[in-house]
Amino acid sequence: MTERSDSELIELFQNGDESAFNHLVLRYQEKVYWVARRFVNDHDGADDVTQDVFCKVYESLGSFRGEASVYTWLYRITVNIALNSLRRQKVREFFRIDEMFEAKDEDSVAPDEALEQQEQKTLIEEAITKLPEKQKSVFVLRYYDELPYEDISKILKTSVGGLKANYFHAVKKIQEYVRRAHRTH
Amino acid sequence: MRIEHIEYLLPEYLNGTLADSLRPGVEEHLKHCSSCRTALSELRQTMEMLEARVPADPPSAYFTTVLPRIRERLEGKESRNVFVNPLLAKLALPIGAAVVVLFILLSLSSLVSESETANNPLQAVVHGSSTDELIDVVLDMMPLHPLSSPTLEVETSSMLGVRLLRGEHLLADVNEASFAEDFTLDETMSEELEQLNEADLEALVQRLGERTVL
Repeated sequence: MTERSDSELIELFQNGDESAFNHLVLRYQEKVYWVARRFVNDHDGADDVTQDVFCKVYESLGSFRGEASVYTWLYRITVNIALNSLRRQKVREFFRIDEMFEAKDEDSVAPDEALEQQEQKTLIEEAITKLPEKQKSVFVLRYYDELPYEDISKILKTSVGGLKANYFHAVKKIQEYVRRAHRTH
Repeated sequence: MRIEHIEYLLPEYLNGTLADSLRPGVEEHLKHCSSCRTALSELRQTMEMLEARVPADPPSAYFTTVLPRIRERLEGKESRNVFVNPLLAKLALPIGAAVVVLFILLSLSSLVSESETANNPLQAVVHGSSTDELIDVVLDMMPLHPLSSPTLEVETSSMLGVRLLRGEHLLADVNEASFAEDFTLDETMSEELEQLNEADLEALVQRLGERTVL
């Protein structure tokens, strides 16, 4: 079963073989997880997205007609569910806005060098989080998953030229965000 | 050979994936364009910074747990269709109407100026219309609304939609394009917002997702 192609697994599933779905999960779970992780930045969020993605896949697999490759289809579902997760997170953060202004505990300050590195990592993560959805999606798929623009074009249904523009602007925004943050500290 | 938007090719040029046919044109351009050379240098610095960011691995043996938990969830799963829940089915139309009215208010606000108020073409349509009629008009007139605007760093639609869910009027200043960027929260509103439940959130996210251009 592990040697079967994606379309063969789907055909098996559509003919009643539940184990075919299991093999799809095992084949793609790491990819899905890491795409989700790049969007939501934490393990628990990525785990939730991963589970949601495969539940959605299970619900939809029976009617999948192969208009796109399984690979493209899975990526598209993952991006959409990850973005929905981020939208929920933003609305919830809105409720907790007062907590953002609570004084930090001075005892929790790390040594200077480790703090600087941690701040840098946090700034980059923040910068990526703040990208507009389209740019964020293009950036995650291109930079972290190293997908060819032609594949991303099918996933996001955007022209290759548009993707390259989005990618360039995403990197510039990250750069600007970090630079501005350093200027104010 | 003239290449348009050379700056968009710089990321590929930097990581060595640029097509051979385009490389000479880009290199020739870089010899004569200091702003693109600067952009390339800044890009290189940003990429180095990104490469240093390595997230922690998930807990060991995590991937052995994914399938069993998905299977458990599928076996015990209730429908996630929000419209199957009678309460959410009741809430969907008023919540949807509230979000749509927000778009109308924003459209009207952007059309209004001191000299143009009397000539606002939407006034005749909006005045005296029922909620259902307004929904039909707006859906016919408005394209899918981007959830995030390139001019704003913070996605604002969800925050604005929440205010309307609470029955508050949105006092949009027509001259303020980035009304959520310097967002201030008064105490009364934060208490009211905390009363929104998961069902409201779910419906709001679904409506916003339907209206989002990806």
